[in-house]
Amino acid sequence: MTLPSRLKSALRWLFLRKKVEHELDDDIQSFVELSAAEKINDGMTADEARRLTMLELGGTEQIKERIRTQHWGIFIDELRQDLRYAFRTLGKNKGWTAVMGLSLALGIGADTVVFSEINSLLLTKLAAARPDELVKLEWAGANDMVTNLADYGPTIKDSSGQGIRSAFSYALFKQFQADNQTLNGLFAEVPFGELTVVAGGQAERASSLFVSGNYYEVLGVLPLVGRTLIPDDDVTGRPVVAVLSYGYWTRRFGADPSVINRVVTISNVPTTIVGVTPPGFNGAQGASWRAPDMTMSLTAAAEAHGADVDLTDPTYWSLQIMGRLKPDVTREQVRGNLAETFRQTAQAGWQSYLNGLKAEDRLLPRNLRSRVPQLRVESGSYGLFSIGPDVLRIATILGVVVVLVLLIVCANVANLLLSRAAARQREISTRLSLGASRPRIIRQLLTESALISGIGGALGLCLTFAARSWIPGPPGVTVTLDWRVFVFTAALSLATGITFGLVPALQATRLNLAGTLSGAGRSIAQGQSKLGNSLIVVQVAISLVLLVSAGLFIRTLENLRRVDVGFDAKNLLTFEISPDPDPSRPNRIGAVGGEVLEKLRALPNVLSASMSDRALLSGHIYTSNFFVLGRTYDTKRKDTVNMRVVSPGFFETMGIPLIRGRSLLEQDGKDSQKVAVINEAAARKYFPNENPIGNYFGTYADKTHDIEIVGVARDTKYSNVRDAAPPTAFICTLQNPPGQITFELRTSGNPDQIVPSVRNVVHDVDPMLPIMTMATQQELIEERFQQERVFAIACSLFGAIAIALVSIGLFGLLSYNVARRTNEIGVRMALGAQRSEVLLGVLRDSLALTAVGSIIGLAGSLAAGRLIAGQLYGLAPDDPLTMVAAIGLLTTVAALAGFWPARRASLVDPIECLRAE
Amino acid sequence: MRLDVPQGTLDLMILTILNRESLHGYGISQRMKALSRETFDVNPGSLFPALYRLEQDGKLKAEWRQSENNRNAKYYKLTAAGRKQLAQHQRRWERLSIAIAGVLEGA
Repeated sequence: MTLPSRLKSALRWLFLRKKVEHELDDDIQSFVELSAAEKINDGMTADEARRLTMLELGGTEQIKERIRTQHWGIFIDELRQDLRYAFRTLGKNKGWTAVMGLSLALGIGADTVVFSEINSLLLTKLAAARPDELVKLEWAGANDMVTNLADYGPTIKDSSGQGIRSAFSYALFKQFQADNQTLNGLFAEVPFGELTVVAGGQAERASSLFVSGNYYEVLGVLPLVGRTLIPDDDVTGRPVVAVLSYGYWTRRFGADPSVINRVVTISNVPTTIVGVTPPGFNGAQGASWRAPDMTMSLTAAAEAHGADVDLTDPTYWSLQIMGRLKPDVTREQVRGNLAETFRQTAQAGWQSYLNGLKAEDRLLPRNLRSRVPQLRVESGSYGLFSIGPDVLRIATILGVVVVLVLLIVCANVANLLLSRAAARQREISTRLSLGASRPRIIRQLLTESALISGIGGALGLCLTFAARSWIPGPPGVTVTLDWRVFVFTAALSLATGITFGLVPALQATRLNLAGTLSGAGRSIAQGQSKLGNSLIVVQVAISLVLLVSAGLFIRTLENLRRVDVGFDAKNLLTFEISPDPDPSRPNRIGAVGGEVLEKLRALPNVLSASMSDRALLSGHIYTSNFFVLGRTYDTKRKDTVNMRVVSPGFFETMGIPLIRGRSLLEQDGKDSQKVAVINEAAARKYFPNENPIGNYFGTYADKTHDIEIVGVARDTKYSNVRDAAPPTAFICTLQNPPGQITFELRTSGNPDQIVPSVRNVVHDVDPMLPIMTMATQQELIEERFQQERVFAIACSLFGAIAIALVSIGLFGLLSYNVARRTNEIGVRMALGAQRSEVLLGVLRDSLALTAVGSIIGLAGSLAAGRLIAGQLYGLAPDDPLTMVAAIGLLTTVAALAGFWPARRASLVDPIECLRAE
Repeated sequence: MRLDVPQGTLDLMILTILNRESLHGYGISQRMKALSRETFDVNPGSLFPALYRLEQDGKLKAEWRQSENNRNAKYYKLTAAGRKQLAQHQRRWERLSIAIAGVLEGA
């Protein structure tokens, strides 16, 4: 039976079993009847005839069973045969099998992880009911209607280059709700950062989100345990309740259902836990963003948690708004519905702010403004947060890298199979001439390819799980492995394997048997070798692109680490505390901070200590307007400085030298003149030809007499290492109590050693005060390079994989070439060629391929350089040193890969070859 | 005397019988009995699997028809592939029997 008909028969049996068996029953029945009829004709009684016939038949079930096994039996038998043979062949070529399996595993594993990351980030919709109906509100263009704007996420620009923002005032939200005719409800939310949760006598920080009461209703998210928030929770005077995320519930409360109705203290406010959201739901911000630990109602936020969410001020814009389209309503219709509401309410808000001012203040230049931005209604199916250019760039670069690796893997698999195909041609010709049918051989080779591909796929699956944790990805995103991606990459690799696995069978069966058997099948072998050569060239080229990128990122990282940040980052420990505001103890933060600082300074091994609102280079930016006393400002001019609130002793602890004037001192207290030290950049920009010391400035145009400049400090990096020091003013903690405190400790040795005593100090002052982000200053700086590090690791990792694959491919190809040319080499040696000439000849082949590949790769690197130019620091994307190093590395590897086959060629015994010929 | 059908010849006999006319299973077994002068009485337990295998393999085609005594029966008939197969089997059998005869005569 041929393969197709056998398969057909097996499948027929599988799918039409009932029908076939029924037909068989009828067939046997008619046999019995015919046989019995004849026996009756011969004179038997009907009963006797039937009994005898049944006896002859030997049981219908046995017959059916025999036919059944006939359908499956041969197919399975042959499959078993093929598998056994395949295992034996693979076992005989252990090295080849290992390399092949590993190539496939690397390709499938790495690709699945990275594609999953990209997928989670860019392609996953919110885990809400019918996410395609969700829309988010945004606005674009200049906005003069706000005094306070708190927005989240990256800055996106629309097609005309206007910045898009997504924060609205509570008044706007309420008016939208009142005027809405196109949406099935719209909700507002505002992320609120971390709060201190005290439960079971333990204090811990947890992230929070404040939402309008209809948040879960509009999203269509049902509780896993208990209930979600309802509009009734979002009313003044109601008890404060919280809904936990699934992650926080399991992490902090051990997934204990009895947590419902328990009262915990959240930032000193007794709060009842009422429910838990299901595991897949990460909030409306984005499907893959880390879910906020707790969700509470907006009213509760305003009442209990203070000023950061101001629902009464119509010029305080901080809420993000999302809605659900009514059936058959377009986003444009929603815009038409709400655009006028937006304009009028925004203007009314600004007017009410002006009305609250003194008459003469209303006429100040900064208050004479009127620009209202344009309302936008965008799709909300992927969440409120837009994917910023940064994340998009990470995703793009990683995606390109991974596609390149996948290409190399496919080329390698093809090459490995091709080189083996040549070796097998003789075997296949022999089997054909011994009477094996062509389909039978093709089927056997397919079994073999499928087996090795299956092994590779299984290894890839293991690798996918292992790699999940150590392949770097964008920060703040939870990645769920995507099985569609696994299936896609696995299928692609398997298809490559199977396609190229068939080549030997198709070629061997097409060619002249006698020719191959007598060793003359060279023209075909040469064709194969040409294909093999081009595959190697492609691999070399792609590897070079990856290696150059890896080199560029590694050197960028080095350059960044070497940058002078303007202070001494060594032996500097920082940590943060954030005491909750306590109405009964005003300036509690300052008091707690002062007490902790006092005790820290007394610790052994602490040379000096200071505090500030945030650490330098911690990534936090605090910008203020900058109005110098005695200067005139029109509406267009906007001078700003970056601020840092620091204690006396800060400059000494950080090792920032003062260029002029004095430092901040203990006597710069609450009741004395407010003072500031500015940096050189601020002095250069705002006091180019004068001594800044003695000048006054303010952060409002009507308060320019506020702060006196007493000193100029050396420039330091502020929020990131790449940018030059921005104009910065350091004001005093004693005069401007910050909302949270970072301590800086200069230690005499390794800063890690004093961590336990630091914890004791804080615990002594307030046992309920959690320490946040304890890190050395160097670690803080290193965090700023996260993106660059992701690229450097990814490119190095994949570059290493690529170069390993290339060396394997080269080794395989050259070995095969040498094996094929053994006779030729023997003849040449018999005619007087030297062993060294043969050796160099093979090496030359290897290097020639590398050279061609490198040239193509260089062109590719220059193109890739344009993609990553913005990520580099201190070197150009066509940095010659990096290029030369990458080519050098590739050439060395190519020479090494070529050396073994070359040596084998040089050891060919000419006498034996001639005899064999 | 009754003998078992020699290994590998059942297909040949079925194909030969069906080459003349299409028959149902019982008819085939009766025809085989008659032609072999009662030497081969093929068991339905061997006949049906062979018929089904040949049918699956495309050598035979079957259709349901009224039999001579008005019963519904499955009639088997040779396909083109079946005829090719028969020719092959016949050639092999001829060579085999000549060879065996030669050996026996020579002894």
